[in-house]
Amino acid sequence: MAAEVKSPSGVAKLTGLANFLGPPKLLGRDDKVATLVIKVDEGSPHLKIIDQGVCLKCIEKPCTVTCPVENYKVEENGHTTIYWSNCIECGTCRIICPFHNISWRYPSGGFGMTYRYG
Amino acid sequence: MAERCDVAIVGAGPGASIAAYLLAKGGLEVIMFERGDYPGSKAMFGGVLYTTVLSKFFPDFPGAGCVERHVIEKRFSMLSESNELALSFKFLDFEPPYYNHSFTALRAVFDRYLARKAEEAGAVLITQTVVDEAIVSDGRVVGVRARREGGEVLANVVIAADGANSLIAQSAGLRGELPLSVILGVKEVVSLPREVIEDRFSLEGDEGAAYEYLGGGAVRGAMGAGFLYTNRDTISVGYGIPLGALKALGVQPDELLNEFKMHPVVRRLLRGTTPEEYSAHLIPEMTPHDLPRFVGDGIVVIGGAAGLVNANPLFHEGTNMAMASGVMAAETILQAHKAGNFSAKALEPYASRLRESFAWQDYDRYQGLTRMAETHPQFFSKYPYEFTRLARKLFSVAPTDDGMQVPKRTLELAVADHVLAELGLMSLGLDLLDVAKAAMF
Repeated sequence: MAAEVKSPSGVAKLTGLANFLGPPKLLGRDDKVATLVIKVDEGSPHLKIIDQGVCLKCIEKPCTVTCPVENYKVEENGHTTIYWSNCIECGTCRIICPFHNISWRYPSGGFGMTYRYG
Repeated sequence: MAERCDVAIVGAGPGASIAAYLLAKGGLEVIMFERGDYPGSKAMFGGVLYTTVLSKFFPDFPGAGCVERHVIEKRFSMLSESNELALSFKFLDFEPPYYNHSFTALRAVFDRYLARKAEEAGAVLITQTVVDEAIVSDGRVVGVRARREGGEVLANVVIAADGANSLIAQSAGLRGELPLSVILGVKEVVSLPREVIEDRFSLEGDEGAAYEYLGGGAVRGAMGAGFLYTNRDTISVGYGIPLGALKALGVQPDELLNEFKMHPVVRRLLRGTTPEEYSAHLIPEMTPHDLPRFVGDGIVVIGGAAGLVNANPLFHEGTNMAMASGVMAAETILQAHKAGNFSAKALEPYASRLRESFAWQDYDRYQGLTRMAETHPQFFSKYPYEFTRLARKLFSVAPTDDGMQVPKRTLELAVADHVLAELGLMSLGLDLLDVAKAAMF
């Protein structure tokens, strides 16, 4: 990008910077999750819906729009599914559920998400 | 037969580690539980660490590679859709090695550094171990229950240092459910060569910048704030928004982050960056009424678990308060150990010292402002846009039909007209009065 400038002082032209002038790279939800190291405790979900009947009656379903990794989905039959293996353990769903209908605990030691930066 | 120790600490963040360090140095047997692979592996913060307390105990920290850059610029800006109105404060006259005690940092690095100090002093760190609850017997906490075979550990005192969600404080009956005033922090660490960062943000060497974006176009006019902090060869970019406001906004947090990153003003600062890590974590912002009790029989609560944060975007402090509370908790426990009494009464000096310290005073002062802001959504949804528009009106260089230029007097009148018609002097005045009132008490 940098134009070659023949300045009187002969200052060298800049190289390399052009590589860092493009738009910032954006990641969708799946690729965001993929930046994390997650060890899944297969078969042992640490999050559970306590009573699907309560979810059926819930109109707002705030869990579906506040989870930072979009782990809460309403299925066609109206049931709420937690895709818990992508959980990043923030605790939002636990607080946001108006009916305290989520059984919430941390994944067992050695499992779940690991930050390398944090 | 359950294992025994003097003090069991749940968590291995900054507050936990500094407490463990002091207790171990004082000759006590300390066990620190970390649920992740290593301290910091489950932790996240925005990115600026205030090092007043840290430097007293670990004066060599700046050379240890545990922090990223010392902050020389704090910049506050209001965004509309495509304009920015900003105020920058650069402080170049603070002396090394601590400068203005403000360092950008990454928790997976910093927490490990501090936990190592505790281990060197003799504290035992147990990783990959979740503690689900405090063991309560006859109304007093007598230990913790770790989720593993034979996981009961008895202790004279338990320190709940398990962060915003503090299940330990809750299991000990020290607090109820968390309120919707709790803030969700969402962030990406994005990479960029250090030379490019230094050139782009006008930094020399290890200098760093902290940019805050208040309301407006940062988070769709909701009560919240974006941030951008320079690390050595990465940038921490993200935002914080109270759960109640996020729920009302109805947008996925990960999409909101991309939107912030692509704001025309922010995008220019992030050119050429590649996301390295996505993260989200709670910031325990709440009213004094929602806070846990800091002390019970056989237990103290510190740091984020105790709700000690100053989430005001002017300051964004928390880890320093955690370290301060860790120090005060440890010193109180050492006294209690001497007296052989670990009742709530014996541990009460921790709570009273805490309330006299900056940690409580700053929390209390700024949570008052936050409460006021909760009832004044216009501070986020209206003023950032309007003030930016005013600036645009004043600084527009407009041609006239006859080939000349609109005189400044006309622009000034347009600004005055905008203030009267759009903002309303009365409501603006009342709002300013509310800020002044909240700031005064």
